[in-house]
Amino acid sequence: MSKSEKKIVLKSLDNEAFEVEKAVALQSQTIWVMCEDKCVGNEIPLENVTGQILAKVIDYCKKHAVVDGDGDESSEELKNWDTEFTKNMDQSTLFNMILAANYLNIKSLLNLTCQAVADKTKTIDEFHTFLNIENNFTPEEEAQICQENLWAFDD
Amino acid sequence: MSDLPEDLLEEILCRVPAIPLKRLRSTCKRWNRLFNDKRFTRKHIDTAAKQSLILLKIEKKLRIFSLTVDHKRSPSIDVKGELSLIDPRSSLDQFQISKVSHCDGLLLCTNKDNTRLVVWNPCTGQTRWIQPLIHHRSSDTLTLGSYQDKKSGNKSYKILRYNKFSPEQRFEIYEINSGSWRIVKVTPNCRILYTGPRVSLKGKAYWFGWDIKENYQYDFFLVCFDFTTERFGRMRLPYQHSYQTMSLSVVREEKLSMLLQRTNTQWREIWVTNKIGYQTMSLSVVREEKLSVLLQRTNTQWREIWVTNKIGEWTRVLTILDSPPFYRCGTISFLVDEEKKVVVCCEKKVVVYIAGEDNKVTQVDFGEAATLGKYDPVIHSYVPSLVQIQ
Repeated sequence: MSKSEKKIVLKSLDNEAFEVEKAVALQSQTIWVMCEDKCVGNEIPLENVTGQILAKVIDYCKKHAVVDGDGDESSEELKNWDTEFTKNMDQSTLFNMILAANYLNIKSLLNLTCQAVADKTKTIDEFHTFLNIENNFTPEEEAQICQENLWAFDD
Repeated sequence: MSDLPEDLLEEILCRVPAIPLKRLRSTCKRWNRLFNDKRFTRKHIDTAAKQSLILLKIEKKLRIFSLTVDHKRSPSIDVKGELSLIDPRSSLDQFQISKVSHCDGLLLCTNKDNTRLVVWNPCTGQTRWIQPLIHHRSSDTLTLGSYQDKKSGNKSYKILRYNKFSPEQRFEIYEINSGSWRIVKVTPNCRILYTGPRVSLKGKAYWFGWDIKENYQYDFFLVCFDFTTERFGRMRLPYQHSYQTMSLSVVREEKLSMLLQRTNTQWREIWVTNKIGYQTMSLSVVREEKLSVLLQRTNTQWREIWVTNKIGEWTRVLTILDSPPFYRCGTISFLVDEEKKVVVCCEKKVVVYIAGEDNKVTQVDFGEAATLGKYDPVIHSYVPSLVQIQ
């Protein structure tokens, strides 16, 4: 295999190009299918992901391409790396990472980012803001639901 | 931010623990629908972090506590509240709970005479009242368990009933799906400590069981009942390992391990001469994940708490020295947090045992919140869930 075949170029929504090892990019099932179908050349346009997010996704894939399959010690290290990776992401970045992981079909990244949101989002208001949801119950309906739920404890 | 597609919303929500998620229910119609979706509630119990609470039964009441352990300070024990249920037959009175069995966040509660049975998810409020049969007695023991339904492929629930006075060791099953009782075709091939503790974990019920060996020595083990195949099985207790950590028994450990290489007869002789037996035994479940046993040998002052790992091997969590010399088997209940090396024991009163960095075990009283009545209190490790009863 020549050097150029080992590399692949990913192009973001805002036309930022990233050259990465094929093994790194192929963790995305979406890219894998694109490559299998030979419907793209060496450059893959990713129309749903911005450069800022794609850079983070590539960081994740690089880390996981290197460490995967290396035994127990590295899986512990990888877990710590994952925690650090999402630790300082703000809600908006996490939201876009989830969409990107879903679009690119990277199951482990989707699990990681969804878990990070579930862990970080503590109050009902935070959930509403994050998920862009308004309370659409009438006060009567809300009272009815609360009536059905007698478990009145906080966590 | 824009809307997330439904499947991604689910991916996030199924990772939020049951109690905070429950609070979200009343705030949005789209989320409320998810709570009635069996596929979602099943996915939730498999994915979300297990939030372990302490369920304490005192004087027909169920109280919920949480225990926070910070090794620099003494543990904080918070009362979360009391679980109460109205019996629809006598709509004014609170249901008087006498016994509790639980699995997957569902409680099976019975009254004193076992004339009223209810499967209840306190987190969602769902209940299912069950009619006992005419020959059922107050001395019956009932255990709730999960199984894989062959037709639907879904996880469903059954109740296992037995009576300690039944001479033929007859077990009965109630299937929640079919709503009827029937007799189990097989019997366990050993004695079961019916008055002792029993737990339900991952589709199996467990009790202590024993065989009588020659010279009237007992051989103890765990008996399990598989709710899917409806067969009994056995599981080893952590016998020989329990010698390893005791200073007095290093010699014995050598002897024992040597003899283990020889024939079974000689090994058994060693057991006999060492008077292997237990005066206190109890069972507990750790975060709906693992099984734990508490053992106190005959004529000893120490209790050992063991937890199984993924492949069913036992590891010792901690040893409590200077335990009371004798309590009737089955009168002690306990729960374990193996990572934090904390054990909560409940016999006449509730006591928290914590192993520090030097493995020295300190003792903390549970506090006034658990002031006990005249009946023996029982403690359970309880993980709330959104699981549907049927």
